[in-house]
Amino acid sequence: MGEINIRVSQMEGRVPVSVLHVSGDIDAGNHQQLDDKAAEIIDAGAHHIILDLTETSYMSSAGFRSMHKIHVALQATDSESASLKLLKPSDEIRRLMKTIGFDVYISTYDDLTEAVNSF
Amino acid sequence: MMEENISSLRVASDLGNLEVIRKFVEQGAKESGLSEDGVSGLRLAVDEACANIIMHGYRELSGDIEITITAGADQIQVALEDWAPSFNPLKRASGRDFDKPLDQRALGGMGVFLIRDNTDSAEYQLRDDGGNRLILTCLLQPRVAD
Repeated sequence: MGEINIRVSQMEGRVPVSVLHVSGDIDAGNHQQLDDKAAEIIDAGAHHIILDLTETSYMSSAGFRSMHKIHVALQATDSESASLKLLKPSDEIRRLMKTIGFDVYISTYDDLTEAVNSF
Repeated sequence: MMEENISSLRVASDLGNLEVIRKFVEQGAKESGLSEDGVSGLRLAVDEACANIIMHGYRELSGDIEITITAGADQIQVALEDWAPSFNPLKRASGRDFDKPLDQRALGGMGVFLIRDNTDSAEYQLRDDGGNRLILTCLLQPRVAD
């Protein structure tokens, strides 16, 4: 109950891109899984990350804090182009991104290829 | 007096129960006639409040949370009752530094901000028996006459 599944895939655009495919709703009970997986790939050298939310319809503040953590960790890397982008967030997540002002710093895409090539 | 529809759910204070709580609130809010955005907003507000009660009210203690939905003609009210030591989640700082660059923000109060932003009122009461009660209210849009 309340579990999320996270799968990581690698894509090649102008730079190598890591995609975190999350399946399930993200809340205070499971966001740690996302924190841990993101920290693991950033530690392993990932600088360009797409959070694929195709199979996530709901996210509480815990999920936004995870997103914030990933953003901050990428800013701290030595790559100037390091960043986090979102793929297909639900309308509700898009609305919240705007409400809390995350949309200015984290771009959103509806197409994976477009997202990969945006880095 | 207007007829009210009351339903309640009692679950253990466990973050793993947030999903059950959200489903319960979503169903009650839909049945009350709240708009689609209103349903999403109330579901989020209750999730944030319950997460706060579990993490900061009960902390390591075990106990229950009782969620009671009262739907009337013009509003839906969700009362969250717990038996944790006195704890008012609304007193936690409400993070409103949303105009700062992302890496300069303190995000601790985002949940409280979202509770207030997605309800028409949020009120904390210390119960006579020592437990806590948080009442979240959303007004229903007036129905357009045919």
